[in-house]
Amino acid sequence: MDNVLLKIAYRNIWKHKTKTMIIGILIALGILLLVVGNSFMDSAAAGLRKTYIENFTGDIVITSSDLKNPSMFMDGIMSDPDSAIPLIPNEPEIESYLAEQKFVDAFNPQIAGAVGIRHGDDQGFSLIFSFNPERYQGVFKNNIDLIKGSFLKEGEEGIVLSSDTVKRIVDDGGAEIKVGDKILLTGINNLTGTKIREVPVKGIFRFKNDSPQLRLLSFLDLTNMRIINGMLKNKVSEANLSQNEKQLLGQIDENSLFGDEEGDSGIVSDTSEDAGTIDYLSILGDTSKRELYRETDPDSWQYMVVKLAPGVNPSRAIKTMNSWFNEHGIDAKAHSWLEGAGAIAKMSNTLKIVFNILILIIAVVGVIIIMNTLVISVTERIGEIGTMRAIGARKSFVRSMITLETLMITLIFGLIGAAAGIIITAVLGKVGFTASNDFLQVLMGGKVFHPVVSVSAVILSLIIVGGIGIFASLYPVSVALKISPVKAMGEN
Amino acid sequence: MSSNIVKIALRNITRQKKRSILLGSAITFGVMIIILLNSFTAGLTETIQENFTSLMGGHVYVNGTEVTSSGKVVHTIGDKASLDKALEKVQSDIKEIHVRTQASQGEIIFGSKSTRMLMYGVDWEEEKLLKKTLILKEGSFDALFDPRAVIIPETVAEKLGVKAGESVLLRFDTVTGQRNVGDFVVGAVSKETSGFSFVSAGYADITYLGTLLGLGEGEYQYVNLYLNDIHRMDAVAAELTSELKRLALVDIPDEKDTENNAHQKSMGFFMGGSTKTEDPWEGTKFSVSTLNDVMEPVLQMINILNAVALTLFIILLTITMVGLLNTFRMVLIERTREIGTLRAIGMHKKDIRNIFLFEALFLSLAGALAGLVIALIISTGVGAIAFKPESSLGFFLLNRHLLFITTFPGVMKVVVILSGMTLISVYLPARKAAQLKVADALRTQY
Amino acid sequence: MRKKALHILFTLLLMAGTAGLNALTLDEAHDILNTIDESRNLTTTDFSAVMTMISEDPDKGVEKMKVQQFRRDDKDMFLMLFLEPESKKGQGYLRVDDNLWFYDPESRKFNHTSMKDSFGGTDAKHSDFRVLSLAEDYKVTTITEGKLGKFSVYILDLEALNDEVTYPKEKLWITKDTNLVLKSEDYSGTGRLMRTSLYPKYTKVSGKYIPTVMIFIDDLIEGKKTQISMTNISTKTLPDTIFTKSYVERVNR
Repeated sequence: MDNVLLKIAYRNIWKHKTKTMIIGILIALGILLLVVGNSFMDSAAAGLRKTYIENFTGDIVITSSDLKNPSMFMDGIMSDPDSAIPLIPNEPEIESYLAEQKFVDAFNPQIAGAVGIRHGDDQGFSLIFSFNPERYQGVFKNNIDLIKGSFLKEGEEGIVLSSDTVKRIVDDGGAEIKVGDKILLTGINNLTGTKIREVPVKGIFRFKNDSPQLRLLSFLDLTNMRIINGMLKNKVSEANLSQNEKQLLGQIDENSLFGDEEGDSGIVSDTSEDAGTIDYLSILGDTSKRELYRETDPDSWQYMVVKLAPGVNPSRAIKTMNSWFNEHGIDAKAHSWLEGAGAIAKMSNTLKIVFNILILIIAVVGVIIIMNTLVISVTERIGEIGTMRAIGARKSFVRSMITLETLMITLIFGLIGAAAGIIITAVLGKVGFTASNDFLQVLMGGKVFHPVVSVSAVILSLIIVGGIGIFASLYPVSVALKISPVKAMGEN
Repeated sequence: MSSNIVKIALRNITRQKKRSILLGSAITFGVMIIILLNSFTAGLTETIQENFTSLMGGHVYVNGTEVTSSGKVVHTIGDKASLDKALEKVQSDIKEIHVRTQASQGEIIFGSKSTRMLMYGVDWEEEKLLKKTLILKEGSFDALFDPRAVIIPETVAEKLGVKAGESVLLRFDTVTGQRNVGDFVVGAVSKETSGFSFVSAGYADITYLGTLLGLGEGEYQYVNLYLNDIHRMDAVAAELTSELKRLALVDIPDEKDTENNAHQKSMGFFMGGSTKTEDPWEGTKFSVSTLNDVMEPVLQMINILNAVALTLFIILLTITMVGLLNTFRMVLIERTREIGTLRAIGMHKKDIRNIFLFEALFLSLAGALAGLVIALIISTGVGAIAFKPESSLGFFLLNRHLLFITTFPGVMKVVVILSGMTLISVYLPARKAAQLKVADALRTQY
Repeated sequence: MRKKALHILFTLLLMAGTAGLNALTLDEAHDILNTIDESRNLTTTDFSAVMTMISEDPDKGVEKMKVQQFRRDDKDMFLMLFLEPESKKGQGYLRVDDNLWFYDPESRKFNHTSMKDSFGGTDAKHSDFRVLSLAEDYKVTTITEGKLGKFSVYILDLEALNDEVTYPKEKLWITKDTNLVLKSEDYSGTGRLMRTSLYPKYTKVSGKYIPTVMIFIDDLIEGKKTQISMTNISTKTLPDTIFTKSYVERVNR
């Protein structure tokens, strides 16, 4: 029986060559679009991953819950000079918690900052990430290209400059910056005021998949960054006031302030001209205590970047972490990588969602049109089907026949379409697209976009084709089955 | 004769209702999607433009500096005549002109709390767009009848712990550098919608703020232009600059620092303040800048959206056209015998072709009409949904809503292109039908 | 007729009376401003002192800063060295040859800084340290007499003559005998009180009166106040080496 059905279906396909071709081309075209479109979307998703997750945000970013905008580019902080990025509370505790979790693959705490750069007489500016270099490279493997010199080493002072920062200084007429040169970094914090550090240039690098924001980033060793940010081990004690000074705190009563007897003697005291000679070299007095405020706090961190084990659902991991923080009364908060990636990434992500919806719409339109064409082709064969029913073909036979026919067409042309899609994507991938602007660059994960044929896209497309085949034959079959043999033959 | 052809075409459509409905619905769906998509992207483009433009206050900005008798550089536009004359030159490009005053490094004070804030002085009667894009968390625009009323951003309100209706002070420097303070009432608190917190500013009454800044009656510091076409902004700025150059002094940024310092320059624009100059000048020195300088990324995004909309339009059109072409080839096969009969009773080849063309045209027009109606219903429905402004959609919302812009020319364009493409795609089967030999056609069994 | 004569007499008496009350003419009052300027500005001598600044801020609490000042105003040179807080001890601002240098003792490095930068993160700006000139910048509009605490004072209302000043209107409380400013109020152009300054202690150094305690009250922000006191005041000529980078480095050794 099956054999007969197959034969009839096969014969029908060949008999209605033109129609078969027409429907087939439509299907092939649809699948081609799906394969190419999905490959693009998948490559773009991978691009986004590369630009962000694998470049600097990881899957999850943990910060203090006091930090309103967890963007690692300090978007929220820049506008308000008074505010500083709060430290992650109970950081060692969080680290040991993360180390125990199976869903966590790796994690790395870090600090951010902003410095003015002076190289000779030339000036520049850079954003800074600072971390333990070995741990950083454990989480972000191979995300940068060292153009010159070497990466930071644990316990060594130095800066690895972004090539863009160097370029901007040189473009402004500055001298070339060489590895080994010493540069002055200046930053301001609320605690120790202006800090100047002299550090050697260890290397010059660029991110493999850079974006406009990442181009501003340089890497500085932890000690220098903490000094510039004023992240000290010893808390600065409260202001030490004398009795007289305390009296003048709070509300001032002018009557008692000027309440002493009238005349000069009340308010004016003489300063004898030679009240001892000043020892100009010991003006600072005891300088031993200030050493206390030079020791940095090794447990002070601002951002914890977490990479999850493969296949772990990030939003569930975030929930788990946040409830753990809650339970233990730690004022920390886990955010998705997108939150940490800043405004442009957020906009790009929304753009991606819009893209996805649009591709879905195209798929729906495709299905409807294919179905439509199939129905028309069935209506055309009303006479034929009527005849078959009249000579004793059962409804189930007609149904199987049409379904099989449709499936064969969709599968054959689906495969053709998929093959064409793969070839086109591969060719486009070879040629590559050049991103004309920053958003596309973020989406594509680099300046030049090479779409890669995504296996999942091909499989998905084939499943969709099968679905279309069955789904699209449902209506035509029901149309065909409604045909009464007599009427059908009469209509011929 | 031609009315006969129309009649036959219409009859053909109604004769095979099922197929016509199927084909028509496909066209309807296609047209609906295209129109929805076009109005959605047009709306999105408009939304992004409006949101950002209103944040920045316009597309092209003109500000002026003058030197006082004591050698101080003061931000004000005294030479209104020259500016007005120059503006006439670019009048056709301008949609709206707004004038503003600005207190740059002000300190807003509530009780014992204070924070720095940029305050614009705006004319609420004129700046409708600003009102449209500001989303109020509390308070209302009705409070603005009071010249002392200000709208402050949510972040500032939170920092100060101030609510709508309460009084605040703003301490700032006048244009000549004297400390001054103004009494204000928080009329409303605006929500942070854009994620661009660096531009969050407060808005006050232009005249009240101007007076506090030490400006004369009707004097202003900044002129912001809204253009009809955002892409013209560089051209308009250039034209305005050259015209102003003819009439007055213009501050032209160096060629060299356009690349690197454009951003810094544009940020400096927010700083204001008063400085002294070594070489003073007479009258107003103008400076013209554009939104481009500040917001390249937003324009890029708009371009992407437009490109996406165009690509989708082409893809959808192609799919629909292929479907139409196929269907009519089938129709041709199906009707071969009928065509033979018609030809046999004396119908011309041309008429046969026209029957096909009319049939297709009617079908696609009817489909398009239905598609338009459904698209309008859907867009009105979705447009009525109020989203949360702080969601990730934030920047795509205009006052909490997704905006769909369906324009008559836009729809006509779709209909005309669709009709044209329909005729083109049906032309082949139609000509084939016309070319059928009568005898062959009559003999055909399908 | 009699009545009229009486009336004239009465008017004359009244005029004499007001003239007597107004012991100071506007010109004389303006001279006081000159005196104040002279006694305050040390353009001819060097000056050194330790300045203690205690700022109260309702948000940030109480902060104390102690700075050693060396000034040579006629050459536009100064050096300020932080003594307190400990975390800033040894940091310095050196103004010399139109350059303003900042020194960080921890790294022992200097860097340029702009005069526009706010001084040590406080409300005071470097430009606030320019030479004062009440007589040049203001004119006296009214003079009244009154009491401040136990002191008999002239109360002068001043109005700015130019746009160089920060506050367009000021009110000064000046002791009658030695013309010391005890109190001043700074007003905005709209006549709103913005800042009150109190000078309850002075010292006399080589014939000049220098306030040793100053209290600045922010009249807009509740609870915001700064008190400054000066100790170790001297007008002795300072060695030239003080105003050099190498001195700043050596003192931090």
